[in-house]
This record gives sequence, C-alpha cells and structure tokens, in this order.
Amino acid sequence: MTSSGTTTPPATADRAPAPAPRGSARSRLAAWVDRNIVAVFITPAVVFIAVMMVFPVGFTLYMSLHDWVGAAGAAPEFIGLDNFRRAFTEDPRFWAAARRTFAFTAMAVAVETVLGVAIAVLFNREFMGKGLLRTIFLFPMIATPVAIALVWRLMYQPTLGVLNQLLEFLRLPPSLWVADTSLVLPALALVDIWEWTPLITLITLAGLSVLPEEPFEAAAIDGASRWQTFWKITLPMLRPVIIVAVTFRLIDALKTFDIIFVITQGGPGFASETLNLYVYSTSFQYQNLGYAASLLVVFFAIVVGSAVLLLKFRRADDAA
Amino acid sequence: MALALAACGGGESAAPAPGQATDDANGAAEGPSEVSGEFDWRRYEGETIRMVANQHPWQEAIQPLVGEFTELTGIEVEFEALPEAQFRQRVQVEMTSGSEDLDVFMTNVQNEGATFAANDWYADLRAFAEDEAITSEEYDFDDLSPGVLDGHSFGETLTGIPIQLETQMLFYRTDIFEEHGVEVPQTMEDLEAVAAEIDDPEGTRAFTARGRAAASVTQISTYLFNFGGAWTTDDGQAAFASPEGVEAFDFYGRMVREYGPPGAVNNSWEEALPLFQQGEVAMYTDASTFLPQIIDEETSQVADTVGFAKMPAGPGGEFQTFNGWALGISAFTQKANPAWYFVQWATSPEMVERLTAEGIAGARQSIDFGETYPEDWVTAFTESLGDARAQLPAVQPVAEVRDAIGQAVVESISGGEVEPAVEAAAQSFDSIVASGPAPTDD
Repeated sequence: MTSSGTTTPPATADRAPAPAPRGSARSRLAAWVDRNIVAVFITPAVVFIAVMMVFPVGFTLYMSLHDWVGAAGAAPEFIGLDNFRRAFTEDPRFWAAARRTFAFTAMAVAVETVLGVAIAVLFNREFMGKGLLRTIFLFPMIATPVAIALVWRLMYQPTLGVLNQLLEFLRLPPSLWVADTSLVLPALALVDIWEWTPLITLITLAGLSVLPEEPFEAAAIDGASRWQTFWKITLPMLRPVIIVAVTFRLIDALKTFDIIFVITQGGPGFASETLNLYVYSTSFQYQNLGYAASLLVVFFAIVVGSAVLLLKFRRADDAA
Repeated sequence: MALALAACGGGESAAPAPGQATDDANGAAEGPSEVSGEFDWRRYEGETIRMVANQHPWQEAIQPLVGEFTELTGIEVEFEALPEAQFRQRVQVEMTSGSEDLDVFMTNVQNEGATFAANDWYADLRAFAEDEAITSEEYDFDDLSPGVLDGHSFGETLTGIPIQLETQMLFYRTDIFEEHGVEVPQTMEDLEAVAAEIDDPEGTRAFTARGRAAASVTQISTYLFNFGGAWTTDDGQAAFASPEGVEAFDFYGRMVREYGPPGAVNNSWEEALPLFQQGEVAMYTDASTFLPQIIDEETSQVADTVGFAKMPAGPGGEFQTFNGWALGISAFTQKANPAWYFVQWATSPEMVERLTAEGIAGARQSIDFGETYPEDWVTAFTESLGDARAQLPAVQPVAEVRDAIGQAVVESISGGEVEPAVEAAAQSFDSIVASGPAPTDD
C-alpha cells in the first residue's frame, strides 16, 4: 500500500486536471476512480475475503476461547485457553479421533499415490481403447460423493450386500466389513481410494505429458532397462508434480466427512469417528459451540501443518 | 377506524371475565392467571395465540381441526408447522430470547426437557389442570397415565401434556412360534430360551434390536430397568454400571449378537425394521409406533403373521418404557390461560379418541382403539402405559450421554468386555453431566 501511495499521486497530478476540473458528474467519477485506481481494483477482493474468510476464521478463534453452549441460553463466557487444555488433557475421544484421522488419511493417500502414479504411467502409453478407458476411469471422481457412499454402504451390508455374496462365491468366509470395529477404517479408506485415485492419475498424467524427451533418449542409448528408466528418470522428474497431487489429496482426506458420515456415522461406536465427525457432533448435536470451535482451530493447524511439511519436503528435494 | 380499534382493544381486555381476571402483572406465566367462577369455554373470546409445531403425524391430524377450537372458544390460533430441525431451532431461539410471542409448542420432553426445565422455560401445567375455573369437568386429568405424567415432570413442574406416545414392544412371528411350539416370552429368561429354540442361522434369525450407538440407548432402557438397573441415582449420577446394569448390557448385546443377523452395530430402526418386515428375523423389540409399517401388506411380508406383546419382565421387575411428544406452554407467554384452553382442547378425551382413530396413540388410559388396531397391540400398549417410565436419562446433554452409553452397547454386541465398557460409559456420563451447563436461573 505504501508503495502505491507514493507512485499514484504523480500520476494523478498529471491526469486529473486534463478532463475538465469542474466537469460533469461522470467525468468527476472517472477522475476519482483514476486517482484511487489501486483501491478501486482491490476493494472488492478485500471485502470478499474479509466477509467470507477473515470473519468466520476470526469468529471461530473468538469462540474457541469461550465456553458457550448453544442450548443453555447463556452468553459466551471467556475462559482463555481452557478449551484447548480440555481437548489435550481430558478428552480421550479427541485423541482417538485424531489418531483415526491420521490412520485413515495415511492408508488412503498412500495407496492412492502408488496406484494413481502406476495407472498414469500405464495410460501414458499407446494402446487400443485408451481414450475410452481413461474416461471410464475418471467416473468415480465425478460422481456425487453421497451417492457413492450410499452404494458402498449397501455393498458392505453383511446380510444383503454384494461383497459378502462375492466372498461366498469365492468360498471365503463372510466379513462384517464396516460393522467390524477393526475393519471399518480400512473399508472406508477403500471407498476413498476408489473415489480419488483418479485425481492423482489425472495430475500425474499432465506432468508426464510435459516431460522432455532427451533424458529418455539418452537413457535408451545408454541401454537402461525400463525399470531403471522409470525409477531413475521418470519418477525423479515427476516428483514435484506428484507431491502437489499428494498435497491436494492429503488436505482432502484429512477433512473427509461425506463418505464416513453416510456409511457409518462414525460407528460402530466411535470406531470410525474422525476429527471432522467429532467436531460435527460437538457443535451440531451437543451444541457445545465454544469447545467445537477450539477443536476446529486444532484441526485447522493439523491440516495446514501437514500440507506445509509436505511442501517443505518438495523444496528440500528441489534443492538437492 | 379509531372506533373499531378501540372496540377491538376493549374486547381484548374485557374478555377475561370483567372484574375477575387479570394476567400476571409481570407477564411471566409460571402458572395460570388467577380467575374464579364457573368454567367457560368462551371466557377468552377474541384472544389470539401462537402455536409452533413439529411436522409430525399428530400435527397433520390436528391442524385441520383447529377451526373447531376457534368456533368453540372464539380464540384464534396462529399455527406454524416446521420440519424437525428447523422446529427445534425456532423454539430454542424464541426461548433463549424470552419471546412473548410463543404461547404453545410441541416438545419432546426426553430430549430437551431437562434443558428447558433448568432454564424455567416451561409453565407448570398441573396448576392449570387442577384449576376448576379454567379446566372443564370433562377433561378427566386423572385419566392421563400417571407414569407418563411423571416422565414429563421435572421437580414439581409438569412440563407438557402428552399428545403422542410410543412404548417399547416385542414384535414376534406367530407362525414361527407355532411351528416351534413356543409361547410368548414373559421374562427375559424366556426371551433367550425362545430365541435359542427358534434361531436358524441359515434362515430366519431369532432376534434383533437396534445396535447403532446413540439409537440403541432408548431401546436398551427397558432391559436395564427390568434387570434391576437405572440410568441415574436420585442426585443425577450415573447408576447403570451396577452389577444389574452390567448384566442388562451383557444380555442385550448377547441377544443381538448370538441370535440375530450380523452387522447389527450399524443398525438403527431404519435398518432393523426392514429386517423384520422382510421376514429375516422372528422377534424384534422397538417402538409401538411402527405398527402401521408392520401390518401394511405393501411394505411388510409378515403383515398377517405378526404378534405384539409387552416387554418381558426381568429379575429386577416388570417395567415398560415410553417416549413421545407433548404440548407445553411457554413460561414467557402473556396468554397462559388461552394457551391452556388450546392444550386442554387438544388433549381432551374426545380429541384423543378422534386422533386415535387416525392412528395417533395418545396418553389416555381410557382410549378405545376401535378395530383398526390389532387386539394384542392394544393390550400391550395400554397395559404398558399405566406405569411406563421415560426411556432416556433426565439430563441436559442428552445427545452427548447417548453417544457415551451407546459405546457400551456396541462393545457388548461386538462381544467385547462388557463390564469395563459400561464402567467407562458411566464415567463419561458423569464427566459430561458435570462439565455441562449448570442449571442456573440467570
């Protein structure tokens, strides 16, 4: 702002007198816009960001320092950092939810990355029906998450679901799937993997298509095997792109709500309750608005922290 | 014009029998405004009251009849019906702000009663019902089930007059019982014996009930009480981790796990009811409200072969449980007496009978159910009502303690260690209640 302040006045001095100093309203407006050109251009964006982002985040921070139960009809009471102390020292449900959030994200993103890159490399070759296959492969990503989740919920149903019928057909014992407390997280991660692997593939494919030819030619001349070429050339050159794709997925997977809510509502018991679902219960069901806000602040820090760590990893790699 | 306004204003103040009735000076209606003299339906002619309802079969049935109330009393009713989430929010907001515009509202006492009562948001309806000047002789207050009224009371305050009730019941398949030559279980012990006898792991399973954490808590209540347990002590501490309570949790979990279809821990009634309707299970305990879905041949394959019974007794006694909706009067209303007229009319013996004929079971013990209801359902329902207990613990953070208790149910159904799970649930219960809003008056 200071730099624009120092550069604009000369410009104004040059131009303002030109269109009649006491001219029509229109020309005066034009002159005013001209003089304040910087403010005019950035104000809408600043207002938008203030209203849509700064205020909600600020209000969440404010609430996180208060004890405020919506149902009790009492005004918020300032309690400093007590909500955070409670979350970290007295709330096993918070810790369990945080662990599950990381476990779910790790499972989902790891498998998505390996599968997604592998499929991208496959699609980068020429073969019959490639276009059609690639289109079909993108379907899960385009479909509505809630609809997908409903279909998976039916498939996982132990008595009537198609997955147990499949197991039966293969002469394998039936599984409880999402009704089994130890299987529920992997089963939910599987849905996420099915839905979001295409995103990693899509981004990686874009990266593959802009790789230079020369290193590959050189490698071919040197007699590198396909595996060596992939491992020593393709993958290192793709790394920045893959890390961007993983970052997107990481942020999204940490925040997953729809598929978990529809399929298990965090159950059985709390066995699939991630942070996002816990915060949902705390705020909308228990009306514990202050505490929910403090959990959201912690959650926000976790998401940002994870993303920053990952991007640091990318830069460190670039430097090396 | 000025004259019309004056006349109108005069009419309003004159309505409560001149010289006898005045509204409380401060407006807050903890109880009825004092009046004397004979009961007269037209005492409040010209008043207007506002009623906020949840969209619900009861509301659908009564809303078209409100014109009759206006005809009878001369009181106009502004009737608002909202979907449940918005409805709860609306009442909450108006109560929080102490709005005088809301006179009568529907309330699910087991859900919000403790919070509302702690904030003194309910007028005490017993005082109205016992005041002969404003309550018709035909009202027959004593006909309302005492157990249910108890469940609607917090301290001395009767928070609502029940309008629709459900009790927990045992639904069973008469054909399967006949085939195996077993009788309707009278005790919990019988229930398990019958289940063991009729269970067919390859075909129709013997039993199911809700297993999804929070949803199961209303359903396990009868088991808990009949094994001799209770949700809380008199001073509101968790009491369900007693040996009797642990036994009840263990029994419920074992029944659902051993004799029922797998995956029950994710089942609420939305999943469990279809299992019964499709003939996948032979016995199912849930709310009496599901009668229409069970005997409707379009939705149920077992419509002709279903029987209904009270919940079996247990070593701790024979209790039945209920849940349901009531009509409450706001403590902030300026029109408490006209509001009571509406509640009185809507819960009168005559109205309850008419609504019953449309499938909405009220709380009167004298109800004549007519021929649309199966006889055994009516017997089970009416016998249960007499001393039915509330299904949920009377604490403010109901949603949160339900989640905590539900963990123990899930653990038990999953075949885990029941005792530590129930103890952990009781501990969370106490800490949730302790950290919840203190019941203060300010």
